[in-house]
Amino acid sequence: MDRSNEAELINQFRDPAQRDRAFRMILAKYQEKLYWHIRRMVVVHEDADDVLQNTFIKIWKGLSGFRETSGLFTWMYRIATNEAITFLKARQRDRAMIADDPDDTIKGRLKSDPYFDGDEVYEKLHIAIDSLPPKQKKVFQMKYFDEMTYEDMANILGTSVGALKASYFHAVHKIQASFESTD
Amino acid sequence: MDNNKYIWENDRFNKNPFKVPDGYFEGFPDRMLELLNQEVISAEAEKRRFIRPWMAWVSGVAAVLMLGWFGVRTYYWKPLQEVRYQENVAMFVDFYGEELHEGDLAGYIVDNKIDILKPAATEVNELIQIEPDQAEEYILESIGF
Repeated sequence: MDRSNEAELINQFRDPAQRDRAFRMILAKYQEKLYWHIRRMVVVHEDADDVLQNTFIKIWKGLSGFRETSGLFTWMYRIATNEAITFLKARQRDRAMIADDPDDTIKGRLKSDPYFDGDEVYEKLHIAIDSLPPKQKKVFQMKYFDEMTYEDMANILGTSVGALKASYFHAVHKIQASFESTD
Repeated sequence: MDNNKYIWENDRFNKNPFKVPDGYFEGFPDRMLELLNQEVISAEAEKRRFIRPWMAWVSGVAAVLMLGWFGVRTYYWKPLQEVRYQENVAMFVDFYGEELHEGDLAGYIVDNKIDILKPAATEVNELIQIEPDQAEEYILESIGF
């Protein structure tokens, strides 16, 4: 969707008579992309569903005031990322309160998720990603899973392309080291 | 042959082994819009919940101010009225000169809070038991004209 179509859609959303229809179009266009981005961050479907709902509630509340300094998807992607991070931090706090819960490791969550059909390699990959520092984790997920260009990532994260390339490079090496250590 | 070094970089590696329940994406927009409508309704209810105590507070303050005003008015109204009558009498005295004495009509008028600026005031007529057209003459007589 180009910027002029986005602007038209946002204008329709600002009109109360057309709001629901415009939002349906936004949902149809972006829900899957945002869902998979969130799902890879939070892993379990039910959690991804909650975070996606919160993301679209924020989008609904903020869209009338959206200033269009960035693209619509960039803005929504940022909201989804923040919502997922908020969710993960809250879970981390809860996890700290319930020590040694075997089901609350990344492996435990993947195994308990009925909507996960990955093999052992994927499990290892996810465990390795989960151990990355937050910035490297985010960069790796955007590049590897969402297959975004460095330019788009720089736009979303507000970082230089060079810094992103360096982060990705470090993330790849840490993941491979993690694979080698478990072989 | 795949030249990628790592297994997870292999093209055959399934990057997305996650699934969603059947019909999840088809049903999500309806579910989301229903949720948003509930959000809007609860946001309005929240606004009303916020406004109600605020309105009660404003009404309470208004009630206190009104009671205060009525209290002040009741307390000060009488003296204010008297001041007005005394002013009226002063004008009356100015008009008729120094002839008014203690116990005469002016005192009577002040004591009975009669508005003497009203020509042939009903109260005067009733109190001095004279006909309206005789009131002016009575007043003039009583002050020695």
